Amino acid sequence: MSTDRGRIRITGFDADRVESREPLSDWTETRDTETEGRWTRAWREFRRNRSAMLGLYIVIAMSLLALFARPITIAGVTVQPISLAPYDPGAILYAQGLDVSAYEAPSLAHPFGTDGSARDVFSRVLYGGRFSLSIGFIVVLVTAAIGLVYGAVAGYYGGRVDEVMMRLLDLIFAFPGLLLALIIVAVLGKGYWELVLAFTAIGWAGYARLIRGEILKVKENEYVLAAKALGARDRRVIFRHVVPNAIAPLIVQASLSIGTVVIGVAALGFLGLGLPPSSAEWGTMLDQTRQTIVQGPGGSIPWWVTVFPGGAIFLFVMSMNLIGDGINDALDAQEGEDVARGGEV
Amino acid sequence: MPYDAAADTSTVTRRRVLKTAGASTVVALAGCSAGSDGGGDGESQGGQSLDPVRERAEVTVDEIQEGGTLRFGLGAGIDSFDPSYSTSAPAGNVHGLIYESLITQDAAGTVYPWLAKTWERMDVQEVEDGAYEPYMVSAETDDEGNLVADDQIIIRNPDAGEVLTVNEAPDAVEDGTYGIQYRAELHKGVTFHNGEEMTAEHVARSYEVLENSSISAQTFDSFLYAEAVDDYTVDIYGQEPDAEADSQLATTVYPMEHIEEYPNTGADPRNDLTPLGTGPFEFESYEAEQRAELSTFDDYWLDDLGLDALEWWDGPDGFPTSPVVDEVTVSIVTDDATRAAALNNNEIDLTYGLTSDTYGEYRSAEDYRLSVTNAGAYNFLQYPVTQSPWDDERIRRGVNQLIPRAQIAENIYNGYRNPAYTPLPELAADEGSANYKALVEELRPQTEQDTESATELLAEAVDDLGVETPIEATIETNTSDDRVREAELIAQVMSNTEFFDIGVETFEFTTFVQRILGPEYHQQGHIVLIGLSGTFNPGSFYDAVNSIDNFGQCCNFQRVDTPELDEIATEARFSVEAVEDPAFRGEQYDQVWRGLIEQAPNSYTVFGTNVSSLSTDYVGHNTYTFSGGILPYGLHDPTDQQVAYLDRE
Repeated sequence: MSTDRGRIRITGFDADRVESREPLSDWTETRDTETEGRWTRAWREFRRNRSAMLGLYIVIAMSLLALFARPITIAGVTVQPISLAPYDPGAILYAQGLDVSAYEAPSLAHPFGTDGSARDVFSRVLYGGRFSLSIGFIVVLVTAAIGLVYGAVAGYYGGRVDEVMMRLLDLIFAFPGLLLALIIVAVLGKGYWELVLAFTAIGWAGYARLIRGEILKVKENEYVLAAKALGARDRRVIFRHVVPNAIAPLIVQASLSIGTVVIGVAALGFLGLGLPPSSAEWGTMLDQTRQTIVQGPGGSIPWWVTVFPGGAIFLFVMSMNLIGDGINDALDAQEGEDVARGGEV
Repeated sequence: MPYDAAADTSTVTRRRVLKTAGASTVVALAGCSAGSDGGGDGESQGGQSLDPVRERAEVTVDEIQEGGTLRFGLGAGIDSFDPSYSTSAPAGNVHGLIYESLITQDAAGTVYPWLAKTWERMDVQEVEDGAYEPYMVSAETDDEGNLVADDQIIIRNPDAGEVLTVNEAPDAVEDGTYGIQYRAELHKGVTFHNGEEMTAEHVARSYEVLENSSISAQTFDSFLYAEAVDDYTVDIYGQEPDAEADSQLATTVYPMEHIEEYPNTGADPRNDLTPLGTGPFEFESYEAEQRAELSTFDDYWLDDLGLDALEWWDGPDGFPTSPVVDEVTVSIVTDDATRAAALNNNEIDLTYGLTSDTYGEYRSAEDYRLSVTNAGAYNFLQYPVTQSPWDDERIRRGVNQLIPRAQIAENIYNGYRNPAYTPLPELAADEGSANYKALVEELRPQTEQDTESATELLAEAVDDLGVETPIEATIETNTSDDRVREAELIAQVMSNTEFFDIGVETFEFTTFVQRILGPEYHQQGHIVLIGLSGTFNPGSFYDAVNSIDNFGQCCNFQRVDTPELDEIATEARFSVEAVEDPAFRGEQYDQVWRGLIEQAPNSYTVFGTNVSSLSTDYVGHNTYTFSGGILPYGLHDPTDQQVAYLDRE
């Protein structure tokens, strides 16, 4: 060892060793094609995730079932003629001249049984997806869009703008979410768009804060500085360079939020503040049958009126959560693997 | 017991009293199957009224067991422990144990003297228009132009800006200006819970408690003045000849401690003002919105005097003189399902107003019973009669014929309610019709579901009016499972025709009541579906929902105005002829019912029932006609030889 004293020796640059060792990756100069986009990679990762794909299949199936449950007519023109649900979801069957009574157990004619007003639960559950699913997607789309713009502006400009915008956000966070939604519906009245508004009014705040945080990180990158130096306008810098690199957490958050909104809609419905009582929205259906859970002595509970709408909510929300986790993994995966690889060397 | 009723306000004077006094409850809106006690039964004392109790449970005197604590599940909070300051029918179940009135009424509505040994009409006379004017004094007007005075106003004369208050009423009576006079001879030896002995002075001054109380409007629309003649005789005067006076003029009797010392908020343990009455139970304790406890009053007058003190008593020897249970616990459980669970878990012995889905099980289960009584109540639709096209009576009659009453009774209420083919429940049939059966036969073709005739009528009306179909409207009702189902069914049956597209909207009960009582509500074009709990008085089933005097009050929400029927209904109650001749009353009322079906401002769907669900540990219980009297009536009521006891084996 003493002979080595005073010599500076750098290891790892031993050309022979580098050339002879096992390659660290399958990259070769000859294979140097165009880089794979992060979205393509994410999608590939996502597809490998079995539980996420199961969730996706379930959500697609439920959406299609809801879409094709009953014909859709817009301005007198039938745009969707298929009718998978055997009965009109609102039809009180004995009033239609059918020999059907309230709370009939599931049978071939009524696979999910009938409810307290002798309506076909199967048709209602299929059709009910239209309310929950569409409200979930619309709310998340709108809130994410608002939150994205709001958060991006606050984060990018920083300083006083950020201060003011974030304090407004704190104001919104000070309200308990569902309670505020409840108040909005109580003031505006029941209805589809009222519900959308109620959930939108509070939902965007979370996205705004999330995206702001991401943007604070991203805007420090050199490419942002470069874009600025090249004279790009703020709008272009924000939406072309900053936002696309900060959006991953927002997408994860959005996919997980759909389930939360659907639960929220169902909760308001269960409190009797969602949609009109006869509508087939899942939470409202549960509210209408709440009293059946306690029966008289020896009475059998008509489990089908609560299990099927409740099951539909569960299935959808669970699937959305699986998808959300899948997206989370898929988007995080890139970073995660990079980091892991670096650590290996 | 509370008079949750008596919207008998057909004359100008009555209207004015009611309007400015706020009219509090009058006839009650029924949230689910709520109801209350009250009203009158005219002259049918000892009459052969049909028993409204279905499958009445009988008790053999020898088998009665004494003692025990009865646990009663009440579906609503107790708004006040004082019947004069309560507007809640359910609270009547507690009032009825503590307080008593001069009279009592059996399940069919027959009036019996109670604290009064005898209760007789002494005089009836016509009262000329303006007869009270010489006694009136000038009064101030409030911001809304109503005449106001510090003392209870009895009659208003807005044209002259004058009122007759309780201070001037004695002068009028002294000069012989009154419509009707009743005399009560009181039992001797009746003691209040605080030890006072009841005298005529207590009775005469008990009316002071009612002044400006929650039930002042329905008291002072007919009551004029009461005075003690001697220690045990009271004369009570009514403003007009009144066929309902025998039940309407009587009052709950209060001790002097209450009359003189309690403030104008009534007795209430929440304010440390113990409820004091003459009833068989004394107030023990109250935990707000949780439970009230009552125990037997040791010095109960009927125990001392014996049933033979009641002149009308002809029941078996040994029949108990008061309730045989020692204590009553009233648990407040507002949610129906939770109350059902409490009954199933043996936490309570008796409750009422559970959802009709559970009735079948309580009926068939071994350890439970169901007690059903036809109530003085109906569910009704009220159309927006001032708005096109609902202002055309053909549209309303058409809808009336579309309503599937039989299906509502059978499929929604599981047969526990009867279809309402007339506007008059059978309960009030004795007084309210010359021949009830014939009336039903006559009106049924116009009220039974007949889609064909309805379609014809509607087509004709729609053509004439040139309105666009489908006519869009919303049926609004309160959030009660059965009620919502009823609304949905009616909406669907209407929408199944080419003429209508009807939606359903629901509101929480008190919110809904506030909404429909709003002065602008009738212009919004909504159809209201709600329940009405009337009284034994047939007029209560007309006035409340049809008389313009009750617009904005219970229960004319849509500005229904049928002046010619108002006049006939007034004649049927407030005339000497009506007081003296029951047949005349019946004929007058028959005209009213026919007119109502013809004009159809309301559609009556099903008649109400009161249904108690109970453990078989509680033996002999029968349900009273009004929900406010279910607990006290079941425990003990000699008028129907009703008594129930606990057998916890």
